[in-house]
Order: sequence, then structure tokens, then C-alpha cells
Amino acid sequence: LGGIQLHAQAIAAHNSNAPVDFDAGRIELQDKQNRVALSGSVVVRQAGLTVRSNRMLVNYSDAGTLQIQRLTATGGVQVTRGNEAASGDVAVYDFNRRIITMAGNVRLRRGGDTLSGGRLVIDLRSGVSSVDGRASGSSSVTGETTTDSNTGRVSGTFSVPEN
Amino acid sequence: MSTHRRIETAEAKELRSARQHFAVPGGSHDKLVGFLGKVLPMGVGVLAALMIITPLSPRGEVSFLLDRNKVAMIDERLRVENALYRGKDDEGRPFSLTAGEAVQRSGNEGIVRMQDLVARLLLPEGPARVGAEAGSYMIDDRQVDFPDEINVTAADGYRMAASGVALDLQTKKLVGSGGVSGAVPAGTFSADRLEVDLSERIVALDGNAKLRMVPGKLRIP
Repeated sequence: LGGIQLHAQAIAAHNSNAPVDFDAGRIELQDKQNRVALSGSVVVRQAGLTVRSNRMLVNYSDAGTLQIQRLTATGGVQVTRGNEAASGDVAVYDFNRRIITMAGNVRLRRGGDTLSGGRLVIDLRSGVSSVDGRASGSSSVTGETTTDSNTGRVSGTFSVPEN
Repeated sequence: MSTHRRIETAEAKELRSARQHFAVPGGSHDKLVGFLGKVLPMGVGVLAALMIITPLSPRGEVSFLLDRNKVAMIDERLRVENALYRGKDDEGRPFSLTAGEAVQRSGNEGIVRMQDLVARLLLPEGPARVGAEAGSYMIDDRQVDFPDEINVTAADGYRMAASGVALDLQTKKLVGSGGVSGAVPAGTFSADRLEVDLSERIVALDGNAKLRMVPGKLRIP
């Protein structure tokens, strides 16, 4: 496992039940399929977390109460939270497991440090973001092979405090 | 009928009884009968003439005369209290529009303005009801314009509130432009343009569309 655990500073645990605000060029709410399709520079905000992408699909369940299951963002995805910003081709925000999985030439910037690789998993509960190159060969989510030169490798730059 | 005086003594006159006085020739009874003998045949003639002439005169047919100036006039073309309008949509399923008051101002504009309007239409999963304070119904293109808020309740409890929209009864679609907003169980939304397909329950928002979903709480608008 080439993933490097990046210990998070004190990023507060993210509340996945906070209200979610969507802002897009076009929103299609398909109630029968319990799905919302958004397109045209989509911006989603939830309590400090912001996801930007070209297209997005939201699956929710409204059996008893409204429960968002999953957010799938595709096309130039940027996830920003606190001082952490990640960008990639595809992102899947799983509300139940409260993790964001990004794939497709992923770049993660936190403060001065950067990390890039095939796949990124942000754990919103603990604030830990881990990048691994394992699936960068063919990112399972989009299916096409990534073209960055060091496929399968993870590279990063860190600034060490001089105190 | 003789009119000369009778020759009789005064005593004979007192001895006659009342009945004899009544029956004396030339008395009141004789005059009456004589008079009737002349008048009645004339009456028969007049009656016969009337029975021939009156059916021919035009006055006979008019049984009920409505005078335009005396009847109560409204200046609009149509004013109905608690009106009910029934129609059919594309699939041939009936819809009905009931209104507290429906007014159509003039013949050439096919718009019926309604107050506290309820439209009932049939959706795949059952009847749906669209209620609004006011609405104006375009008869020829079967579309109801709602100046302010409406709320839709479907059979299984699905509810939607929206403002700035119009209901197309033929295709059972809500269309709105120029800024619409509303709420559905999944969340509240606003956008420039909106098209809602009520039977498929698809809400399509266009032009800086915003949607707010609050997990954990199913809000019935």
C-alpha cells in the first residue's frame, strides 16, 4: 500500500447531517428515482465543505426522513474544506460512511503541503486524507486510464516547520 | 210583444198572487225573456267571429316577454359563482377546475379570471389537487396562470408549493419563468425557469438554480 497517512491537524469532524445547498446552472429533481441531477458549474456547500464540479448526481432516500446517500461529482472536481483543497476528475461523497473518494489525477493541497496520486480518500470524521497510487492505473470510478507519467506512484512536497 | 195597457179592474189586480204578478204577460219576466231573445243570438255571432279571428292575430304566440332593459345586466361576458369547468387532457383523462368566482370580461379575450381556484387532475398514481388563491384560465390553450403561490398535493402525500408558475392542463406540466421558487418533500428550490412534469414528478430548474436539502427532516411544504 503506497498510501501515506497524512495526519490531520485539528480539522473538526464534519457534520454530514447539516443542510446541503446546491447551486447550479440546471437542476433536475427526479423524485420517483430519488435522484437529483445537477449540471453547469455545480457548487455544493455543506457546513464548511464545498464541492465544485461540472456535473453532479445526488442519490437520496426519503422513506421516513430525508437521507442523502451519495453525491457523485464528475468533471473537474474541487473539494475545499478549511485549508485543505483537493482536485481530481471524479469525486464520490458517501454520506453514510462520511468519506470523500476522489480519483483521476488527484492533487491535494493542505497549507503548504501538496500530495498527488491516483486516488484520494478524505475521512470526514477524523479529517485524515490519504492518497494512494494503487488504483491510479485505471480509476475504477471513471474507467479510463489516467495518463500522468508516474502512474502507480504517489508524490508529495511537505514544508517542515523550522522551529 | 204587445205594449198596450191591460183592461182590468183594480180589485182583480190586488187578488193576483206574487207568482201571477211574476207571470203576467208584458211583466218583468217577459221583458227579460224578450231582451235575451234578441241579445243571445247576437252574442253567438260575436263569439263565432272571435273564435275565427283571434288565432290569426300574432299576439297569440308570445307566452313570456323578456324586456332587455328591465332584466339584471352584467357588463362582463360571463360571471359564475362557484363555477365548475370540466375538460380532458392529452391522454383523454378528465380534469376539473372549480372556483369560488369565475369572471370572463369580454368575448374576444378567452381568459377566465378565477378566485380561490382548485384544479383536480388525474396522475398515474391517483388524483392530484392544485389549489391557489387566484388564477386566470386561458380557454384555448387550456393553461392556468397563477400570479402567486400554488400548492399541489398528489395522491400519496407528495406535496409541492411553487410560486410564479402556470399549469398546463393538457400536458399536466407546471411551467414558470421569470423567477420561480417552491418546495417539495426533498427540499426547497428557486430558479429562473422551471418545468415540472407532474405525472413523472420531475422538477427541472434552469438558470442559477438553487436547491437546499436538509437531511434528517422530511419537510412537507
